[in-house]
Amino acid sequence: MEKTKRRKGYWGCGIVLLVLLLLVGWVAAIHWGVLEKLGLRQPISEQVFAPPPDRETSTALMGALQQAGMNTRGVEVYVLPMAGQEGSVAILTLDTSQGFDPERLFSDGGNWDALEHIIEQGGLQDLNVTRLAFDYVDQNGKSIATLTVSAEAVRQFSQEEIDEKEFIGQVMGRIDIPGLIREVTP
Amino acid sequence: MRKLMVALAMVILMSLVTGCDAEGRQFIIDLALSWAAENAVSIGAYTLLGSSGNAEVDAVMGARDVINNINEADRLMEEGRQENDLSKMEDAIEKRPGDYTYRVSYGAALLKAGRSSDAEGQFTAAEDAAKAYGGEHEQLWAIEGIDNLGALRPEFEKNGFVDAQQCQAYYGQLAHFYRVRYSGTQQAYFQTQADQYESLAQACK
Repeated sequence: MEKTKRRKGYWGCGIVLLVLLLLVGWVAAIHWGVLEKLGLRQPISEQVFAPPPDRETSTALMGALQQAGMNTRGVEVYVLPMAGQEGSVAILTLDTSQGFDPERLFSDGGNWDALEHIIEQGGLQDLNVTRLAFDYVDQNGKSIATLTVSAEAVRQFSQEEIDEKEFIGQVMGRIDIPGLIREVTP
Repeated sequence: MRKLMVALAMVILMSLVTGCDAEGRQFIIDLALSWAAENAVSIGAYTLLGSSGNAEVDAVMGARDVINNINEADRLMEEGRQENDLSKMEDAIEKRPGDYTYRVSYGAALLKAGRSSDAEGQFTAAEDAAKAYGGEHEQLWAIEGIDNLGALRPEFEKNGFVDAQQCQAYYGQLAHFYRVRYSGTQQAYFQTQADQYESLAQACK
């Protein structure tokens, strides 16, 4: 009788352990993109950004940043149209390993008109850009933060239709907090 | 303008980090932490399930790999064009199979090499992808096609076609590109061009 109870107890523990192992395995597989690396699943980014990049709009956005006096060394702009839906994502990569210098982000005397038009006066809509994203890369070439927000939220915030807290709530993405602390610590 | 600056500064907060004074550094860390607290549920969902529930956001998180692929594929395609190396073009397409501009360029290179049916296969695959994406993509595909095949014209005019199949594929495809342009714009010029290339395709011997 006691032996049967003990055996049932072992089974119970075994099942719980198995479930835990499967759960840990699943999280690890997702975290390291095992399914994608094995070719069992196409990454969502490759599916969504399958169409060719919009090079014309990338050039226009880069031009507006340069006009505003931005130091564009280590800065790249990619505009990626999305498959099966209207709109594109404009991705600004700030890569310190490629010479981006955060201390000299903008020089004085730049002309902000073009950038202002793009951000505040519906210019993004004209360019069919519906989302903005920023990727900050550290000296070792590692992405520390990838943040994204809809172009509409940027417009609303710039025109004071939403406050700072609402705006932050709409910024999505990933920040490597330990990496950030390492980056800001001299 | 100040609001715009604040918005930009918040979103690219990382760009302000190096060289800040202690107060500034603490502000950035606090901002990052408050952002993380504000979005704790979606960050947790993304970490556990690999999805934030928003396909656009999930795609942006992996965009760095896409950009690396684009740069690598661009390099391969450019080298393929310069060196007339079809295998490099194939490698580029393997990296970005949904990019119809690569397929059109590869199709044009195949046509030039006399591999007409392979070329037609690439043009069709490119058209299918462009149609599936919707919006302006079908028109962009046709523009790309007209540019790529237009660039072959001087050589075909100078040296002639290898065979009737190459001639038909060339003019027939050009006629098709122009028909697509006409259907998207209703400009009579495109219809005229389509008719002209159709006649040339029928006259191939």
